[in-house]
Amino acid sequence: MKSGFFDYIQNKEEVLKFIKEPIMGWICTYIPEEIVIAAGFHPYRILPHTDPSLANSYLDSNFCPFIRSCLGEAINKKLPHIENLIMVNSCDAMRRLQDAWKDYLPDSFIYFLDLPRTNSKEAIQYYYQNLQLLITELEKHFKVNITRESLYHAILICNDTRKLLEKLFNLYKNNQIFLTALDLSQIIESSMILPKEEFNKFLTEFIQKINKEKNFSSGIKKLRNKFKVLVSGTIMDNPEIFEVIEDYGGKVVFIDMCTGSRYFQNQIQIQKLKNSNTNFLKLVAEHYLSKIPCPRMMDIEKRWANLLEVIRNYQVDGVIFYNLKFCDTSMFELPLIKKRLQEYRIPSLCLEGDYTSTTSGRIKTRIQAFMEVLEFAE
Amino acid sequence: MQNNFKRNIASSLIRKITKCPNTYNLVNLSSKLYFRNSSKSFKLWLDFLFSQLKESGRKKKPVVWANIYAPSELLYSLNLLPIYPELISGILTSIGLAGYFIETAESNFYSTDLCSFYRVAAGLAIKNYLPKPDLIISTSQLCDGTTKFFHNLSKYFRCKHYLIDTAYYNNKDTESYVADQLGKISYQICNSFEYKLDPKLINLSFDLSNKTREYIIRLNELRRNMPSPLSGWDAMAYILYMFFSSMGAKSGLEFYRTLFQEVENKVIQKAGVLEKEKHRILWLHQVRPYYKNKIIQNLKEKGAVISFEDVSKVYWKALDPERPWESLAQKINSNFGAGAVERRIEVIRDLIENYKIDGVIHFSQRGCRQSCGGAYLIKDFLKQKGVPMLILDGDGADVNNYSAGQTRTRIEAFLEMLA
Repeated sequence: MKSGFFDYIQNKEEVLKFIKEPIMGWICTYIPEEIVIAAGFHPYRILPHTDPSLANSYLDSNFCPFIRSCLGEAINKKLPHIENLIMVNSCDAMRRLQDAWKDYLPDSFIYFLDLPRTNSKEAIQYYYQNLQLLITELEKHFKVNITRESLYHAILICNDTRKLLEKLFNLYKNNQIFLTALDLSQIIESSMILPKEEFNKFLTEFIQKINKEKNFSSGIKKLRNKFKVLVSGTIMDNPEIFEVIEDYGGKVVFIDMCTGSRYFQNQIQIQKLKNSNTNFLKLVAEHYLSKIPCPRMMDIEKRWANLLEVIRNYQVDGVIFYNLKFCDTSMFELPLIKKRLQEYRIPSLCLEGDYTSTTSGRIKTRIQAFMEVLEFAE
Repeated sequence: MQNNFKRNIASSLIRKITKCPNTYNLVNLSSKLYFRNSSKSFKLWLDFLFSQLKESGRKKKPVVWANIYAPSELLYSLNLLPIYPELISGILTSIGLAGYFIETAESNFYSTDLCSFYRVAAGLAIKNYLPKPDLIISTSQLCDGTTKFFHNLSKYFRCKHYLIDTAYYNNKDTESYVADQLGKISYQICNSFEYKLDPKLINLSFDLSNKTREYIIRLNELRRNMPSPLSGWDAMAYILYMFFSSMGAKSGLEFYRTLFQEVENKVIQKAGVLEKEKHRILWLHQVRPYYKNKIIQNLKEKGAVISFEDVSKVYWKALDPERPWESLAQKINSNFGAGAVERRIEVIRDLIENYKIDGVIHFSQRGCRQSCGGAYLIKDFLKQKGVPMLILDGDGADVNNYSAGQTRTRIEAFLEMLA
């Protein structure tokens, strides 16, 4: 039976109607929600669901479909109340999105946060300075005050969300609950959109409930769990893909994506927070630059080490790379990672999403073929 | 099986030939013979290109592979021998070899959606046809592909990759962020090759760069003349090679001094690229197609000439050898292609005015997000100014993405609008 928790996360629009705080949109997981909350905003991750062709007359079609979809939704007023937005210098596409957003939606408040590509001491210091500038701008523009206390409180809230998601993920991957990867993906996505404190409360109750009920099932289906699959990539535009993997006998044991585990892996250390001399903002800067990097960052070895650890720990049978079309940072990483996987004799499959439904038939066939490869390899 | 064996033998033979320094003496001589009627500046470029390839095989200095926005003055100051894979890709394309390397890259998981210049360069690295680099330096400026591509190269060649992580904004804080990295990287490189940073070399390299910069500024000034004395088609070929790779080298100064004199003579003689110049075009984006194509012919037939291209704009201040890292950081940060598109639009506006431009062609290189992404905004801006712009989708290195008929139709329609 589906829990009340699922009703809660599936009625996002209703929940959002009752939010008192103004909404601050954010786009990339390198934007600290802690600062947004500390400034008194409701952080809302922009995850579009429409065809990117809505933005065809604004951005080249040879361009990231996520970015085009974001702009298309914003211009066509399909996003809920997004008048304030923090973007980050994550890639070429994001830079151009900022240009276009500013030009075509001039009434929005937009802050463009610069982001280093490494986590050297100098890079952390630079990012820290940039976060200070963000705070100054928020305080000046919205006449708010981000205090040490409000930042501390916000860190605790975000830490709780991360901790709870990790707990749920561990229950899921250790087969202690029967939750599908699609359910899990919806829960993670909701955590980026719904009010954090309320979400944390509901998720805590949900975890307590499923811990009590042995063999909890989301009620959708029981899985065959034959092959353990790691899904790695950037943003999942079409979470139904997880269903397809499961339909053909796979179990998604890890989602190494910005809309997956990279959102909640590692927390800001509570011990350090208790120290009265601790600079909280510095901690935030360190945390974001030290987490498992996304393909945009330089430390490919850290990414590879993380993938390898997951592969070993969960005895992964195959890896599916799911990247969005025209994402250079991911595409440039594949030659190295795929070669290394070949050396370890781990089969892998590369899929590309483009925010349209037209590809799903082709993707389905490719996943089916990949599962047959895994069966053969077994 | 037999075919594979033959292919392997052929590959190792080619590898031996391309890595042998004397090969480049021979190629230079034969090129000079082939291009005997070309200008002196073109021949100086040939000398520079082949001497760099020859020296990289001799290994008397550490060989660095760098991206075009890693300031060459830094590399000469550190007594390194720079090779620019992106520029070599252009040359390989112009001699019809790009397809072979693109095929190699694609069979090694480089997607067809990636910039074709990097696919050529990746194929070249995988085939291992050039002397191996001792180190790699790249900036993260302008294009995401650069950062990851050069990192991949460092893995292929098992050498250190030094990344100059550039900033989005251009201000004092970002200048120190970049300057600190430049200083740190320079000392690390010196330490790894066991030599000391030589202030004399910095002085020399900066002085040469500043003198060269002056010639480029004067050359760009000459290009304002009507009729256009120098075609942008050439400026985006061998001249562009020197623009990125020779700043801070003696050969760079000699090249630009010669080119300046050649163009000055043309201006004095009132000799233009075309006999009857009807339309002055500004070409946007740093590349053009380098394989055999008919674009320049299409333009010529209708009396259009590429009077200027944004990539040739001198955007940086003269370098100060007393503050080398800050000065180079300033050069990196002041690149108008970095940051918001407004910076680029501002430069385009000035160029249109200064070069009496009638129409703008934005070459949207397939696989280049940073440039294509801004094209519509630039077009909107130019529409307000009443300057027609053509967004010409194409590919600089992959001939498979070129359609002669379609390109001609689009150019003709655009030029008719100008008429």
